[in-house]
Amino acid sequence: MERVNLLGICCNWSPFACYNAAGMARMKLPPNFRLIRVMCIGRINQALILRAFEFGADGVILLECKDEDCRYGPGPEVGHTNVEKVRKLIHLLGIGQDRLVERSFAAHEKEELVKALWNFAGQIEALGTNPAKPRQERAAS
Amino acid sequence: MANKKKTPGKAVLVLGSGYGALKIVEDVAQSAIPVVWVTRSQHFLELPGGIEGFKEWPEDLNFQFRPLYLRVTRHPLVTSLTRSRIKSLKKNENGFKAVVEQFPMYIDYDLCTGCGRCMEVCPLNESDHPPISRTPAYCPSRALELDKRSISSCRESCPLGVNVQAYMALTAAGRFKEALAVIREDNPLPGVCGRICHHPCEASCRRSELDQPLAIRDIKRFLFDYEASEGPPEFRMPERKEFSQKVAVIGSGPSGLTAAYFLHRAGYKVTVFESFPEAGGMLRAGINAFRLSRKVLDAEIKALIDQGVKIETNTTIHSLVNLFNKGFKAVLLATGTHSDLSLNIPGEDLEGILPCVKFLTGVNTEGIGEVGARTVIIGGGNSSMDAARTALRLGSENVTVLAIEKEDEMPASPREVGEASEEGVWFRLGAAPIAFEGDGKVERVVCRPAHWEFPKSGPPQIVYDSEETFTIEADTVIIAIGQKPHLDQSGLDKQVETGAGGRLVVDNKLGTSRKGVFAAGDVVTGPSTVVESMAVGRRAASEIISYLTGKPSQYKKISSSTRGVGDYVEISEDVPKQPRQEMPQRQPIARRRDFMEVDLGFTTEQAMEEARRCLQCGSCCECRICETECADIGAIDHFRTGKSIKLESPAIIVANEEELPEEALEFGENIYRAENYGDADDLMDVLVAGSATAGQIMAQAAQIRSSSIPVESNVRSWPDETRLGFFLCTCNSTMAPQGALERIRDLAKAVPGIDHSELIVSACHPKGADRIAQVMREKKLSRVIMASCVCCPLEFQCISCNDQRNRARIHLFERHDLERSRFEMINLRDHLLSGDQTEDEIVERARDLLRAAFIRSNFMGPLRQGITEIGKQILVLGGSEVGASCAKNLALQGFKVKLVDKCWASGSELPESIRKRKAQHGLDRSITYIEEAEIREIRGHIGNFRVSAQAGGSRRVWNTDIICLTDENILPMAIHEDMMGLKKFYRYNFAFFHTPQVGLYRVLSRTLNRVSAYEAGAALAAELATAAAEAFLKDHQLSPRVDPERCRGCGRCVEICPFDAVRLVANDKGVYTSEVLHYNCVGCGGCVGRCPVTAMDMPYFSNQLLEEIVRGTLAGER
Repeated sequence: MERVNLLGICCNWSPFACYNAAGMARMKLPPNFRLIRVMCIGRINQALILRAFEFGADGVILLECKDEDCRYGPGPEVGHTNVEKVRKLIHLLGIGQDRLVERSFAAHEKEELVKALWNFAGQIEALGTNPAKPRQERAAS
Repeated sequence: MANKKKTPGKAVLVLGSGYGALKIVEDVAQSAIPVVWVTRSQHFLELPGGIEGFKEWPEDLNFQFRPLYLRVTRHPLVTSLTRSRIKSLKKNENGFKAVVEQFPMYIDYDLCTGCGRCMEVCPLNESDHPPISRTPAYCPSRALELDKRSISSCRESCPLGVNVQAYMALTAAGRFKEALAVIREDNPLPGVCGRICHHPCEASCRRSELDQPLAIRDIKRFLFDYEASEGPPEFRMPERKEFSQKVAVIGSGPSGLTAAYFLHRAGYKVTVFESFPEAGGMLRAGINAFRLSRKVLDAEIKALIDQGVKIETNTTIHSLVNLFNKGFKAVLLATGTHSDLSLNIPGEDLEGILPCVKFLTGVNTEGIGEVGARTVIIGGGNSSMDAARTALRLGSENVTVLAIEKEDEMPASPREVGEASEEGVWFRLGAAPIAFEGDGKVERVVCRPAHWEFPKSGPPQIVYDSEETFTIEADTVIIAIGQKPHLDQSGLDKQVETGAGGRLVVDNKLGTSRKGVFAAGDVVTGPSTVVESMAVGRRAASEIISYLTGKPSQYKKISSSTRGVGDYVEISEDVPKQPRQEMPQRQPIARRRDFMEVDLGFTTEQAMEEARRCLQCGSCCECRICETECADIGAIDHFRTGKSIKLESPAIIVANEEELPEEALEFGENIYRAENYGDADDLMDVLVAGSATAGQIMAQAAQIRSSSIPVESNVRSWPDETRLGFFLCTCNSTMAPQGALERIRDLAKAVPGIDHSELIVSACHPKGADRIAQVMREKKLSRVIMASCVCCPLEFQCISCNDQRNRARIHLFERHDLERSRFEMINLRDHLLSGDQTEDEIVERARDLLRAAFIRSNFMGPLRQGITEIGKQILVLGGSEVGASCAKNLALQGFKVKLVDKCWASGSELPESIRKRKAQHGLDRSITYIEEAEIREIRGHIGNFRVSAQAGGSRRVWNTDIICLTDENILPMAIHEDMMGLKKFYRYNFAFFHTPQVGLYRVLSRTLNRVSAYEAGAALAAELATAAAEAFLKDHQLSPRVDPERCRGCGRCVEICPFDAVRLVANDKGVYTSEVLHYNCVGCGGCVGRCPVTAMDMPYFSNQLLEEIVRGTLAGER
């Protein structure tokens, strides 16, 4: 199977607490999963998600707090809007909207987070590499 | 505390744990009043009164409370004392005088890194009751806790204080050498004591409440034999300072040897003088090889000689003066009792009548000893049993022990009696010899039935029971009725004072009548047991050291209360009954043929099985292996003592009634109660009530309020000359295998542009921060990447944070005053290991995780923009009961308050209910009172609000620092309608009084379902005071900036911001651009994410940075 690049963009609050707790509990994550952390998922603009695909991600997952849990208030709402918009764009670009996943977690749901990441990995692996990547890059991966 | 702050002399005292107390302490401390928080519990969130929770108890509650917990427990004005209690409480004119006592913290909460190595080495880690445990989930710390109860009774009853529980624990875990090392800490002769100790420990063993006591002595024997079978003995000698002073010990018995060992350990040059050809004293002369094998005795003595104790045998000391002339600074007389007592009855001088010690000494040291076919031993002690069994082995066919005592009264140990009996010794008990008869040679012993009587004073008396006599035929008679010192033989008895029975007279420091001469052991006490003699020897060593150094003696008999907190671990009903293991023994018929040892010792399995029976009464067995393991960190100290703190408190808050001392119940005044958990419906009740209590106490304690505006120091300008350093925390060597850590360090070193790379022991330990600060100075580093478990350098705590992470930052940024903005911190600790990876995989994972940090280090910039002072003027809109109570409370606290009693927003009517409400006349004169006003507009931010109003027929503008809305009709003035329903705003950070806008407060009507209006007012006042007392605002670079070139004024950012932090402003051409009000901004970046044209960006956390991180992260994959 082709090795796919998985990128997680993670809110510093509930999902990051889950991620740390999962790490502390020595739970295994998909080996090709990489994570970047932001203050709040609302901080991410649409450009950044598109950039991720441009830079070679085969799948992007936004890890956010439950709507009512947001420490600041607007985060998940911004997240939903951005995901909706970017999905349309990546569909048009031929990347396919299933490559962008949005999931939310409460602070204690480390098992759920790990499970979601494995599901995400499985889903993207089934889709294969991002068709928008330059041909030589796809061949190399 | 991590920053070792001083305990304040004056502070509000809060008693008890729980969420309510947490909220109270937060409010009081945030309002700049020092707090001493005291609880008996181990942790501050332990719920009082056995409550486990409420019906609605969110699963992620622990996480939600972490930031608050960390903020409060490490607050500079909070002294948090767990496991503490009020020792005394007195009322005085200023409130109360209290003395608080804290139990010893055997693991220092402020130092423990949570690496867990102590747990791994603890012999009881796998037991049913592990003494070391992690803090519970509700306490956001990785620190460990040690459960150390009272010292176990076995150890207490051992005259030497040998740590029985520890060597049981270690033996049970199969760690025999460490077990033996524990014994040798207190007892230099484990092989001897493992055989012939009279084991008072077993008599006191708590296991006998359940079945039978442990076979402690036999385990000790096993440990010694195990070591002997493996190789030469190992001594754990503490670091030894060598002194030039010489000490002489006369006599190499148990007492002399023990004294010599401890004197040597303390650094003195010790010489032991022994008149026999071989060392050992009574151990060799009096105790038979079949009980104490010569091999064992020789090995023990050799071990001591190998340690450096000098023994001169065949040397009888006749003159103490000579010893001093030879340069000895102190002398210990431990010559024992080698003269036999005689019966003083007719015929005692007949041939064939032998004194016991003389007989045994002959047999044991020279192999000389003859007995006839019929031997009678007189006496019922252990010597008598020894003599009897020796006689059997020398070929006597018929051996009888004659003793006055009945079988259960004999001083000999039952085991000795039993073994003698098994071997064929006869006992004729309850009779005393009155004469020996024979023709030159003894032929018979004439006896008369008798018993002992013990008068109130004086020695015991023999009382004869009848006139009748009987005889026992005998060829040999051995008299074993006791011994006395033999100092007369060497002439030493003339050089120091002797007393009854020729025994030496000593003072309470074991000193004799001659300066510098001490005495210990049987020569002072008369015949005693091995372990008691050793104990006196040890004490003598301590007294001699005290004499030589002039410092007080360190000797202390260990007792159950010496250390530890609380009663013994309960004997659980689940502990199965299990009889004790018995050592295999040679058959009596075989053993009476020779002098080989009777007992064969435990097998390894038996020893472990037996040791597993130990109930581990004291929980922690105090083997102190964890202490050694933690040496670099120094968090564990088994000898730590408790502390005591004195303070004056204007008022006391009680969150747990049980923690209030009884005498305080009469005091009445100035004691406030937090919500009782039993009466509360949910957690919100408790928190709101907490704020209400805090408000009431603030009015009492306002005079001890202290406030200072922080000064920005040590700020260097950006951009800088980049000198980058990398520090990798090893988490006390548990982060990853050492090899992997070194490779990660070298990997970082190889990154272009890096100037320094090193491993530090622990980032959260003061030493770690000290090292980083030192290197930063020496190498002039301007930027640092710290890889540890700390996730960020920012000045706040999130729900992932824990005490260690928080502490690391306190050390670096508060104690060392380093700049936060110069640090990038990355959490490797949690993500480096996920199972059984190879070193390569670990290094690869680290490379992945560190990539973002290295990218980030190129984008560092200032984090803090400045500090703005704000005033303390408060405007209360609405004179409801809540508003009035709030205003009164704030006035009592000394704030400038303006109260507008009846107000309405422009374009609306004053509601009927408010119109009819009685006006709040007669308030404190310091309160500016306005009866009615139409409020036109509220603008501005904390520290600078402008309220336009129409009052008393004229237009007014009120400038104020903080505003508070207490009537429902004006709530919409400041809060967007759709924000009112924001669910779980700030989660539990109290939507009741806060609004999304900083500095603007409100009361929601549902608050009044929980507390009375008066209390709600006090609670509101408490929340206001926390903002007003702090009196400054920190401004940071986390707030977004707008690029006016790109902004098209669509207003989506304004729409999304719940904090009123973005607004649209028109320029002179009427073009709208958005503007961020950084006072209100919390830095979430919602507006940045929402902006459709990327016109907004955050300086500290820029779009470009994120893009670079995404690019770098994914580039690494290709």
